[in-house]
This record gives sequence, structure tokens and C-alpha cells, in this order.
Amino acid sequence: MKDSPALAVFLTCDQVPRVLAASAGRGSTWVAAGRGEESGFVPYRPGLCLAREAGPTRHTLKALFFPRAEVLFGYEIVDGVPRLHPACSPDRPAVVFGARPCDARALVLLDPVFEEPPHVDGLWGGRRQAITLVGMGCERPGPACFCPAVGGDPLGEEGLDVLMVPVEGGYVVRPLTERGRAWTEPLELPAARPDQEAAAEATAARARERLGAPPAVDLQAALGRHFEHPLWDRLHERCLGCAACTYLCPTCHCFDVGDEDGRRWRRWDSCMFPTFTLHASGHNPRTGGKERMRQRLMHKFCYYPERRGRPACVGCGRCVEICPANLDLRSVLAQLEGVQA
Amino acid sequence: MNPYLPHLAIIEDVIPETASHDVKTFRVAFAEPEVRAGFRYEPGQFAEVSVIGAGEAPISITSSPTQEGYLEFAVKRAGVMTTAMHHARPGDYLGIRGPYGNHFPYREMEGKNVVFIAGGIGLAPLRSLVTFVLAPANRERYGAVSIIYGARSPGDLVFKWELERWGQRDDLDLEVTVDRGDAAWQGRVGFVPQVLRELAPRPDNTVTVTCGPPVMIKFVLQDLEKLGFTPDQVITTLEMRMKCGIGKCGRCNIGARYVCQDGPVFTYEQLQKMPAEY
Amino acid sequence: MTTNLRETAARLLAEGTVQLVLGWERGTLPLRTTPLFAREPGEAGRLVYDPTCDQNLAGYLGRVKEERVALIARPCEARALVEQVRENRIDRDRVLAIGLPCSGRISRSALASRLTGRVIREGRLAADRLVVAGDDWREEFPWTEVLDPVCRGCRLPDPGIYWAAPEGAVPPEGDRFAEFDRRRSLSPEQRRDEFRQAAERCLACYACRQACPMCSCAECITDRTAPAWLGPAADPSDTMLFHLVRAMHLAGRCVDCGACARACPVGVDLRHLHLALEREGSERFDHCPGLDPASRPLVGGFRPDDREEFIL
Repeated sequence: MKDSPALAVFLTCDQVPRVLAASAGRGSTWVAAGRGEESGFVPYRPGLCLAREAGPTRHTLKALFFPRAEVLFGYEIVDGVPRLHPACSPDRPAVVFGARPCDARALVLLDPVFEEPPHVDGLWGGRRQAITLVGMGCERPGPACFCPAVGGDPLGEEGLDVLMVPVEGGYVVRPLTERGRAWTEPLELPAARPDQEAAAEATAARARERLGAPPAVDLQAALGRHFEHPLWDRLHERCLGCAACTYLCPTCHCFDVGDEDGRRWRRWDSCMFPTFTLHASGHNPRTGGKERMRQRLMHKFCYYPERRGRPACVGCGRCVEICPANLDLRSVLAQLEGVQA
Repeated sequence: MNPYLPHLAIIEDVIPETASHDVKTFRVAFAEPEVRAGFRYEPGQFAEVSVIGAGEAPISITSSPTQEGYLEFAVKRAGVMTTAMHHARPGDYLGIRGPYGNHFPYREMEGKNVVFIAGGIGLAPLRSLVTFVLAPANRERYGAVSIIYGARSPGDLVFKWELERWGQRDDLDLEVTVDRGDAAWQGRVGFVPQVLRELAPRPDNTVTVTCGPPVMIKFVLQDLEKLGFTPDQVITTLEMRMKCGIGKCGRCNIGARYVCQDGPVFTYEQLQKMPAEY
Repeated sequence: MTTNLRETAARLLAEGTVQLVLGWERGTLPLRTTPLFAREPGEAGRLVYDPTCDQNLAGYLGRVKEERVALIARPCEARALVEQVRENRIDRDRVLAIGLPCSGRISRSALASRLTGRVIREGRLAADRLVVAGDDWREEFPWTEVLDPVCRGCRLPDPGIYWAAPEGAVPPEGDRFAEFDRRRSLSPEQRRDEFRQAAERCLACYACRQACPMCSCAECITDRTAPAWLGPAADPSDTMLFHLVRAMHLAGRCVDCGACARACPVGVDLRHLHLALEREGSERFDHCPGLDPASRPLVGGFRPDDREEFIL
């Protein structure tokens, strides 16, 4: 997908509505919009209030590709004989504008989960195909953000087709892929001047400085060693056992499957719920809150990396922000890193 | 591609297994001839079985690939879906997708003695391999074959018709035991691990394949170790709650291993390296 | 106050009067606190107490194993404790409620609205002033401007529940039913639409239920599979059902601490469902949850003079 970098262009703040209108004219365009706990991705319409969150929006980008509930197929039973109807492809955006680099990276982490052969999930894949992701670099990461600690970057390009870097008065717009160029070129924006490019570099430097350098710890190895560590007994105490962190996590992908009203659905599910692993016999392999919280962390920082080489976390900080108990993943991990074996 | 869309299959026969009928075997055949002809599986694999409108559950295929034209599933009535399945009759439709998961290492087992150790409905996933090994085309590839099978009571034994057939063979040692007998029971009384200790199979050139309730497995593993079996000589198959069966729904992992993809068949050697969350 | 609290807690732990002190410590984000489970006298030094303490700690009482527990108790915690004792869910002698005077807490969502979404990098309380600052801005105002509406007109339970009763508590004036009364003035259709919109936003993460000190069922209706009361389609009507069932289940038990609304990650506040039932209970049956451990349950209690004109 990625090839030789195209020339960056410059977009002024007041040109943004025109650009969005033009994009929406060419294909369904969704934008990061809204404030605080209601912010998320919605179809563009004129006058929409774009998100100005310091970090990512409250609702994730993943929800566009893996909605909270969706139909896997329809069925009807005629004279005792079932007839199955494959799910029709639901409304999908052609362009997403304003996604943060962490959210785009989360999609890249989820791609192999859904699309790894031999069991290719076309529901995910169908929406991922032919989408142009226009990302908004993070000028001022929020207090919950920690992307560098998990291999991300406030101006990261992974998974994006276009990266916009905020600078004084506008954005340096960098097409990153062929698809990104196809989105940018018709806008006929002027090339970014050297001083604007320099300003973009300064933005990146400031954002990186704010986030600090990643800790030099092999977290995967530490977690692997500490599965049975008594620290877990204390770490999980504050956890209420709700699914806020999983449902608003950009990389959590667990789901349940069930039949209702002539359709087979999949719906988000959470490893934080006791019923998640409960067998019909009554046996439950993960019996308590400790085991469940440990599973969630181990999956992200030990099991997923073992299979795919890097953690299933993009450091967006949503879980930090929304946890009713302020049980901060960052400090939990720091404590686990710190324990002596 | 929609990997969640099942193929339709017709129930050909329903065989009540236990006295209380809480376990039944369903013999099914795919509705479409090309699916029937193209469905290939290995002993130890499972399928996602649907009662359309009631849901879906992962169920091990208890028939063997050597039995052509149909599949068999032995199902214990436990949750919503299996209860709905128990209401099904011959001629009714099921949805089936699969086969999923790994399989018993039957090629690596060639030339070796095989000891099957099963409890209750745990015989269901092993039966596929037993049938496969005993098939005329395969039997000579394996050494001595023995089966230790137990259940709580005579009424809880499954595949009694199969046990009778196996009992008549002279190329197979079958030991059936129950925890508690009844007036009519003439056979052994005792727990599976006790029988195992008594028979004391020798570990040389032998593989054991075991499946049953967790407490049985626990003692069987201990006893096998005492008999000199190394963890790589002990093969088991696990049951976990699953939804998708294809490694996406995130439900059936034990550590970094997904039971639906990396299992359900594991050696004890592999299990020892995994968290005890099963 | 914080110094006294730390000293008292450390002493209780050192003397072995309790094995655990449940309180709050400073959180990891500006103006946030997090529960502290202090088991060593030294850990008591991390206790804090101010209007940013926003979780209801009484919800943890049923989860901890210690023989005796000291609970830092504002009126919210105390009312919940009264109900837990009344329902025999907690042995009263197991809990030392250290009452603290409370003049209300800060509502994070009210603060976010007042700051129109600007990011707080620093925040602190100086007496009754709240000082907040961001990248290129700083504001200072009385923290009561962002008071949690649940705190207005707070009720203090019977002092009998306290081991140490709070002194000098001045509950904020006002009416915690204000938003409820606004909704009451709407038409039934408007109210239904508002409820439905809230249900559409609800992710069914059950943070409200988990944060609630009175939601105590070992198995929630949402966990049932035979029958499954909530379907896999995540229809808003299912979400509405959950919230209605929860409200009915909390009838006469909800102590209106507002923990459910504060816990919600997407800003759904359905406190009014509980307030409707609270008002029914008080107007019809003179029932007030959370004040008297000897009171009879609203649902399940019967008096010959109960009004029952609604039956027939």
C-alpha cells in the first residue's frame, strides 16, 4: 500500500469545512465530532462540531468496522426447513476524517485477528477495504495518553492514508498512500512551504516531549513471569468488574453470538464479565475478578505479543480516563514491571 | 467471505445414550450433496453446530472420517442450544460449520500402543479416534489398543451399543467401570484412576489419550506420571466455552493458546506450560 | 481533617482494631481520586479526603475478606451502609464507619461542561476555590459551581450507624430532585424519547451496576441465559429493560449517591428513574432509604394502613 511519499500540502483552518464538503461529495465521509463523553465518529454534515479532544474521541474508530451489534446472517424457517440469508453489507464510510494515529493503529492490530487465513471475516474486511483514513496528528496529547509506551507515536502514520499535522493557522497534510493521494489531490491545496514543514516537525517534537520516552522494560517477559504473583490480589481490588474499559478499548474485539428475531447477531462481549467463560455445565475456568483482570492485561501485553510480536494496546488512554475507579492501566503495568521475580 | 454461515444438515437418527436421556447422539448428513462430498475432517476436530433460532455451540465430532456420508455428535443437555437440540427429531435441520481445531496426532501414534482413558461424556471426542484406529485399513498401524472407560453409574455410560461391539473384539482390551453399580450391574465398580492403577499399563512405546471430568483428569495425570509416562505421552482434548470457533471472539484462550485453533487437542507437556485456566 | 483521618486510620490498623481501612487516595489524573485499601499503618498516610472523592466506597464492603473494616464514610457511604446492614448483607459490627463532614463533591461532567471540553492539566482545591489550568489557560472559581447535583439537599443518616460521627457537616442547600422535576414537567412522549435516547447511548457495560453500593445480586438478570432477558441484538428496548429492572430492584433501597451516573463512561444519567421510585415511596409509604437500619423494606413490607387504592 505504502509507496514513495507524495508532496505535503497545506490546509488552512477555515478551509476545513470546504474540504469535508468536497470529500462528502465524493463518498460517504465520517468525521471525529462532538465533545467529551459523547465524542465519536459520525457522518459528516455541514455545521457539525468537529472533535477537539486532546487525545482520541470517547467512542472508538473500531466501532465503525466492528459495531456493537451486527447481523451475521438472517434466517427464516419455512415448513421446518431453515433458509439462511447472508448479511447484507451495511452502510460503510468511504472516508474517515480526524482519526487519531492511535485509533488507526488499533485497526492495523485488529486486521490479523479478523482477516488471518483460513477464516477470513468478510464483515470486517469488507468495511476495511476501500476506506481512506485521514488522520489528525496529536498536537497536545492528553493526560491519559501513553502511545510511545506501546510503540506508538502522536504523529504515527501506521494505518493512515493521510496524516494531518496541526501547525499555526492550519495543517500540513501528508498523503501516505495511493489512496491518500487520491483523496488529497482533487482538493488542489498548495504545497506546504519549508517553514510550514518545519512547524510540523516542531509540533511532533513538542508532542513527543510531552509524552516522554517509553520505559525500557520487556513487559511481555515480565508479565509471563508474574502470572502467579501475589501482587495480582491487590491490583484487581479496585476493579469494579464493569466492561467500560473493554467496550471503549480500540483493540478489544471479544464478541458473543446469538439468535434473535430471524437474525444471528454478534455483539460485543467482555472478558470482565463472569459469564464470559462460564460453561453450560456451570464450570468456570476464570473464577474471580482477579483472574478476569489478569486475563485482560495478559491478553494485551503477553498473549497477543506472543502471537503477533507487539502489544494489543495503542496507548489511547480511554481506559485510564473512563475507569470509574481510576484504576490506571499505566500504574498497574508499572507495578508489574517493578516486581522482582 | 462470511465464515459464520453454516451449512444445513438433516438429522438422520437420534440415539438416547444415558438412562436419563441427558446425552443423545445425533447422526446428521449435509443437505447439499457437494458439501457432503467435500466435508473432510480428522479425528479430534469439532464443529460449530446450530439449531437455527436457538443458537450455536462447539461440539466434537464423535464419528470417524472412516465412516463416510454422515457425521455424529454426542450432546449433553446443558444450556439453551443443547436443550433445543435435544428436542430435535430425525428429519429436522441443524446448521454445521467447520471442521475446526487441530486433531489427534494419529500419524505420530502409528506403531505405538494406545491407551484410551475416558470418563462420562468424555468418551465422545475419543470415540472418533478409537473408531479410526480400529478401522480395518488402520488397525495394523497401531500396537495394542486398550480402553478404560467409566461413568458415575451404569445409566451414565454412553455409547453402550459401541461398547458391546468393542468388547467383542479380540484386538482391543476394554475395561468399563462405574463409580456406583446397581442391581443389574455385573461389571467393575471403582473410579477410573483406580482401574488405571490396577491395570498399570507400561509406558514403553505407548501413548495415552484421555478425556473426562476435571477431577478424573487430575488423578489420571498423577497416576500416569507414577506409572512412568512422560507428559508428552499423555494426550488430552479440552472443552472451553466458545462462540466463533475460528479464533476471533476471544473467549476460549488458555494463555496465548486458543482452544479453537491451537487445540482442542493438547499434550500434557503443552498443558503444563499453560496457565491452569481450563 | 486529612491529617486526623490518616492518624486515626493508622492507629486503628496498628492497634489491630481493624485489618483494613477503605478510603481514597490521590488518583493519576487531575482532580481524580482512587480507592485505597490500606492494610498497613504506613499505607494510611496516602489517604485523602476532599470533594474530588467521587466513588461510593460502600460497594467494596461485600467484596473484601477482612474481619473488621474501617470505612471512610460520607453521608453517601453511611446511607448505603445503613441499607446493607438493614438487609443483613453486612454485619454491622464488622464495619467501623468513620464519619466525615461532607459539603458535597465535584461533578466531573459539570466541570467538563463549564470548561467547554478544555483539557485540565492541573487542578487543585484551595479552601472553597477550585483552581484548574490547561496548556494556555487558568481558571479559579468556587468549587460549588460544579457541585454534583446529587449533593444538593443531602440527607444524613441516623448517627447510630457511625463509629465516629461527622462533626460540622454542612450539606449543600438545594434540591436533588431539580432535574427530576424538570422531566416531570415534560409530556410522557418527551420523557420516553429522552429515555430512549439515553438507552441508545448506553453501551451496556454495566459500570452503573458495578459502581452501585446497593446492586448486590450474585447473578444479575443480564447474566441469565435461560431465558435470556436481553437479546444479542443490543436493541435499545433491551437496554431500557435493564435500567427499569434495576430501578425496580432498587426501589426503596437506592440511597441516591449518584455513583451510577458518575461511573458511566458515555454520560448516561438515569438517576431520575430511581428518584421517581424514591418519591413514590416517601409520598405513599413514608419510606426513606438509608436513614434507619431498623426500617422495614419498602417492597415486601406491609402495614395495614398502607395506601392501596391503586390495586383496585
